[in-house]
Amino acid sequence: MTPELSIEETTVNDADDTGLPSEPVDETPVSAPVYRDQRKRYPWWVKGVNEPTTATDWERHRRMNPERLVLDLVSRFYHGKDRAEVVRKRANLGLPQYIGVDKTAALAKKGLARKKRWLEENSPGFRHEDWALGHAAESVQYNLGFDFYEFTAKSAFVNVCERFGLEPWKGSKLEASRKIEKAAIALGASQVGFAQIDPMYLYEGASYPPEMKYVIVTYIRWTHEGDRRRDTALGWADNRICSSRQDFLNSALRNFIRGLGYRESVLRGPFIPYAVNAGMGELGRANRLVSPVHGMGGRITALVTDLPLAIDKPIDFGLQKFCGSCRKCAKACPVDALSMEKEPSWEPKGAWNNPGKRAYFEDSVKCISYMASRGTGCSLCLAACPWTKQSKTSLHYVAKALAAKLPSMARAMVFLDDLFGYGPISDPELIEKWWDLDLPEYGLDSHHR
Amino acid sequence: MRNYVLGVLSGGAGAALYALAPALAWYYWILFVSSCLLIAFSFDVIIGSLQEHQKRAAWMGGLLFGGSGVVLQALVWGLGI
Repeated sequence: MTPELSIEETTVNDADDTGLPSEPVDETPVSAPVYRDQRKRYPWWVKGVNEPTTATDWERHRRMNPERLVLDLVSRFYHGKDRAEVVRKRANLGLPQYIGVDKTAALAKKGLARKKRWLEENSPGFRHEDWALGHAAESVQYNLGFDFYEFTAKSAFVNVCERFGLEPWKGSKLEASRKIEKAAIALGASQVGFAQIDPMYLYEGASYPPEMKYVIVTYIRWTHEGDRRRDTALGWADNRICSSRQDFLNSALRNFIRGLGYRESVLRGPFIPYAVNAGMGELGRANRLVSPVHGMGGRITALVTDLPLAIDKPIDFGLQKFCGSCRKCAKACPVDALSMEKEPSWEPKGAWNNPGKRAYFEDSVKCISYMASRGTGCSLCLAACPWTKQSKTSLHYVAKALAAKLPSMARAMVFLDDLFGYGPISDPELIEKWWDLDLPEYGLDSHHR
Repeated sequence: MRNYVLGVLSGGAGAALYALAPALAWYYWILFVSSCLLIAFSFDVIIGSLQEHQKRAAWMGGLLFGGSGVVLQALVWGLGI
């Protein structure tokens, strides 16, 4: 449910472009949402729409229970012998609730045995240095035992408002959104979107004070070379590096908002609906966000704040029709966890899916079971998506524009995508070549907008 | 720099074509411009794909777009002159 549209968008004083503070010119009522100009965010073939392209039946929709998720978001913060203990004690969370504690433990044991075998065989993409990189990337978070924000809360850090006794920052909603966007990008986000809280898209039992109604959605992309090596230790290392960057971004952004004199909190709800509402992409066949710029090549996170922000509209770039014919992600899945149906469905695959939307529901138990037994985080579906591309040749721009405007040509586009060799690498020599690549900082070698 | 060089080459080829066949039919000129654009595009695909470490995309793009451009050029010079 998107908020009621305002009749007109607030215009921003040209003085904003000089960096000088401008007088708030918002003449719309305080409670009415203000929308950002979507034409500045995307190329011409992406259009802003009033409702998300995923059909929703509000009669069937219900708030999500996070305990039904197959991916347990609690025990992953334990490791070693403590993790096995947590898995046993919390059998009602994550994968164990669907396949049992013993089978879950057996899958984890299989994953560990596999890792050891790869290390012994010195398999390309799974070598000592490949695993060492991934473990190093996640070491800060896991060694601390809690996220960066909690760490700063326990440290001597004091935000600038408290330190200098400043009044909360004041500006128009559009200005505020610009400041948050620029700050987030400087702190490592690839893209930022804004939405409003929708109680139907919060976890069961979650709530916020009425003034905490603005959602900041940030997108951090993986590297393309890591993407192409998904389901290997190198691809997993890339995933972990991205997660660490995401932790830094989240923590710093939260402290930035506090430094402006406003409240913030993590979003206690699924991120994807907010990312869709914030115009960062559409829901694709893999039941993940597909961005017209980044494809499925990144991670999303979301914060809630009471800083008044201008928000974004959902977008439409023809993905619903494209996904109907493409199926590249479903074909890439090694365990057939994704739907191969031509049309999306209203019927969930299991208790881990939330009903009330027309989507290509996935078998998360198959997916997470494979990930647990593999130890590499898989994500082959995300790497296979034809929308996940770099930006060094205009071929991608032309192809995406054609795919958006002529989604009936999806099959031909997918054929060419395969012909040109895009997608995950399977050649072990090429996988290992990662260590010879001339990559810039963080491995981010494409500029996207 | 690359676009400048391609532009100069295309302009030179166009000038040579006009010098040799000033009465060339309008559709040959459309073929000529299309082939120049395809060849220029193929350079972009080859160089960009190599920068993206996508070797197969580079030569496939070169073959598809550059090859088509060369064929069209051959048609123009072979049939038009």
